Amino acid sequence: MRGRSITFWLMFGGVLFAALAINSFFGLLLTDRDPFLAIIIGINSAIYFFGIAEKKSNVRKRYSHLLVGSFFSYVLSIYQVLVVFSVWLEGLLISSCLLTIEVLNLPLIVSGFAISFLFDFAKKQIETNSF
Amino acid sequence: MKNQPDRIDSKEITVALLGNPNVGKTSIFNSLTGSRQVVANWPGVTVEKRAGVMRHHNHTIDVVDLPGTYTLGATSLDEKIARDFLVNEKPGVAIVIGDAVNLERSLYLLLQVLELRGDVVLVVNAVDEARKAGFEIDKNELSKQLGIPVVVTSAVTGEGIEELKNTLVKSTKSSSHVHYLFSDEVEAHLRDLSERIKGNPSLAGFDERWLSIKLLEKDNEVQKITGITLDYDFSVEIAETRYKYIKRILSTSVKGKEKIGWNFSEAIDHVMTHRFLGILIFLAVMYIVFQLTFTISGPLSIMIEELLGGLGRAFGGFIGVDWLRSLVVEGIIGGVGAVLVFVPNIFILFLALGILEETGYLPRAAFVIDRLMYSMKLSGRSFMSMLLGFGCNVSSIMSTRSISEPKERIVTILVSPFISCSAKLPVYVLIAGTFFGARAGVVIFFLYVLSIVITVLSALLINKLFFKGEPSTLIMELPRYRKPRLSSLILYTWNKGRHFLEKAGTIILGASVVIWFLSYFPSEGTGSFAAMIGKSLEPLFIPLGYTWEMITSLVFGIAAKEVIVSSLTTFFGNLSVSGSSLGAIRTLITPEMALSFLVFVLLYVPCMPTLAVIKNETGSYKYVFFSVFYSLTVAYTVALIVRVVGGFL
Amino acid sequence: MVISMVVPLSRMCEGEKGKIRKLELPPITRERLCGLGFVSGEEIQLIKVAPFGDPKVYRIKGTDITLRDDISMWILVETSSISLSYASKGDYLVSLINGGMGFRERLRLLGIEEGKGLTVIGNLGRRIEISVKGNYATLSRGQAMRIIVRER
Repeated sequence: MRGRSITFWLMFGGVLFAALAINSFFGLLLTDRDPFLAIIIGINSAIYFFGIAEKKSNVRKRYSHLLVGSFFSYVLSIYQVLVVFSVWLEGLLISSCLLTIEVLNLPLIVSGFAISFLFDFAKKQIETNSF
Repeated sequence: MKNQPDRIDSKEITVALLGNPNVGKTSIFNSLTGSRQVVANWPGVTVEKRAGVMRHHNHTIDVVDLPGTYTLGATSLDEKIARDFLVNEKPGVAIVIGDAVNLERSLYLLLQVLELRGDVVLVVNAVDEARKAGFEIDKNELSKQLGIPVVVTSAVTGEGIEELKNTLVKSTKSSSHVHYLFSDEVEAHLRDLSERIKGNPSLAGFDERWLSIKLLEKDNEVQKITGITLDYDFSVEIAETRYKYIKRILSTSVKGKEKIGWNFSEAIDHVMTHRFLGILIFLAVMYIVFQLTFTISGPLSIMIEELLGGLGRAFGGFIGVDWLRSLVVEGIIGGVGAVLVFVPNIFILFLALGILEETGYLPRAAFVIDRLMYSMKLSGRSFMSMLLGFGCNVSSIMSTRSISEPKERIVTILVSPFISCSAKLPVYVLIAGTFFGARAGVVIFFLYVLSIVITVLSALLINKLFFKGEPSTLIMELPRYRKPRLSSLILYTWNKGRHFLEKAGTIILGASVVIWFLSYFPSEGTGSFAAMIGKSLEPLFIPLGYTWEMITSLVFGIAAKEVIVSSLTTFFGNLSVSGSSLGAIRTLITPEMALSFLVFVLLYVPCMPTLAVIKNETGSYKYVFFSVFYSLTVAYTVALIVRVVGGFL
Repeated sequence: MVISMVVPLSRMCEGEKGKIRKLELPPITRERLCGLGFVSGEEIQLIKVAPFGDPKVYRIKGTDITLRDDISMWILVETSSISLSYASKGDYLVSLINGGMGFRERLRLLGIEEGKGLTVIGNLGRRIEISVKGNYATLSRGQAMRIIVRER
């Protein structure tokens, strides 16, 4: 893939997760207010953005940002799923449903899984090309 | 012979596994022994010893996993253990496991093992990665050059494991290894020394050439055993000769050209050890690990609590005798329950740690925050352990196993108790809520900050006290990243978790019974032995102004910090958290007394399980006593300061 | 014309390669490092520097090892340096400037100092074009001969 496409995906990831971070910080859309989680999501966004800060000619460095960034996003989704599972389980035990749509933080889960395809892609690129 | 299937050929030989750290030795060990393994400590030290049994084609073979080392000198504890085992126990076969991608370095250890002249098998692991990187290993050529059997494996794909098992079982007595020669000058010295050693009957059990080589390398242990110390030092030359020999071997046995450009691990590392992102990612990882541990273990702990509660009621219904019922329900089940409730917490924490360790991330994290730790005379590895202390001090101390520097390990172990563990949180919430109402949050935050400050200061102090303020050395390998295997993870978590259960469980059981006894007799509550203890200690606490109820709770808190809450509620009746209906209490205890009490709880004696683990991990009671006295002193002093200062505000 | 300069390992810069010359360390540390491949003549490369400047990651015999400066400063490494006049396009670090105060001052105004980096954009024999921190400059062959650089 040529340099431009990587830039696009890095920008995409960065903006998407920056938005998710703000979303979690203020609890705007379909999510609870969680400033700490927001910071963590913000860090994910930073990984993408720092990738853009790398010199355009340094393709392999940019791919590495894409690689780690997308993996991180994937981990965040799994984390969120596990958290939801625990909340559900807890609710089950005290016989009252603790789950609300906000607890799910669907935007995070969906984004994370969606962007994880980039991980496989970046991995393939790094392994098959000698930059 | 296979015609008699009922007879099991017991060929009980012992096989020792050696290799550099991070070559996949543990995976190979697991592949050979499956779950038939036992984890213990090497006698007298706190280094893990793994031993297991391999069954293959009707043969039974004992397998011992020696600690991973880079050489067989006797400078570090790991090396000493490995070497002593080879020299004293003389295993039937020594397997040296090497890394196909870094064969050159792995062979250095192999050569040292060959110098000991036993039966050796070389296993070249991770061939799949070598192939991906562009090399091909010619094992026949390698075997010919070294004169020993060579098996090529991949612990990940399972390739070669069968062949390894077959090789072990065949027990070929290979009498000739290929010898390599040092320079003429060195060889001359070796001849002289060998003569001298042959003349000494007490050294008959050793190989004289090996002893001679070690003497020329100025090896302390060998110098002691032989009584010979030389003026000259050939260690540098000997090392260089070994590496030259290795290069020669590899030039014919390894083919292919290394691919230029980044490999997978390098790509990941660019971000993981990035100047800015490195630390951020580390913090993010820590946050995720913590949050997951507490969120997932929450409901699981509740389930356990309910189970135990049910169990208690069931037993309670059965037993007619009052005191026996109380003993079983409140003493045993209640006490042990306090530990069992922890179990999900501990296991999940170890699982997370296991993932971080197996993937290879831990050294990167240590690298990134090392600078900060250096000012405390510690290193990045300790930081990870200390962070765990916010969950439970027991797990943080147990995780110090992975710290290789003994001085650093001990300092980390001794300061860990000052890190405010999760068991103390209920106490904070209760007391702070009662006395400080809306500002309880600020108070709790203050306590955590204080905890960190004292931890840092203690680290510096303890280092000065015990180790003359020397910082530890850092020589750490950054291994390749790899995908963790589920089976290894499960084994790892199970081993570590089981250890916790055994140790903490037994102590808590004992302590619970004792505490139960003290609070039940001669009459429950105010008339009990416990109350008597508390009242008798009251004079000691006059400067602090604690009442006997508070003191007794503190005494009980030694068993487990959560007990403080239950004791307080029992003694004071209902303390409402919102802080409204407490007239009497409030006149007895002023806010600054409450604050100083909280500080005392934060800093004083570590709980029983923690003390047990300290004894285990340091191997001596001296540190346990130090921990107790030091923490009491610090707690008393700081609590006093807080009370006096608080009185003015 | 390749000149060898011996510098402590701790002074190498990111990406730079060198050959180990000597380990002036106590025997215990030396032996540990030896097992990891730190022997005379072995090639070593600085891969990464930690966020606060210490520790650093080095690559030796294909393995990445972390060392703090308190050890790496006692490991002497041979780096091959050349005079700027022979340098082809690329990034370099200035090892040495052979010259008097005046010469050094003039170079300093251009941003060329010992220990600092520069990039060679073109080498036309008579004139060498370089860029230092974004600023362009041209040096004569005579000037470039007296500036010793090593590859980055």
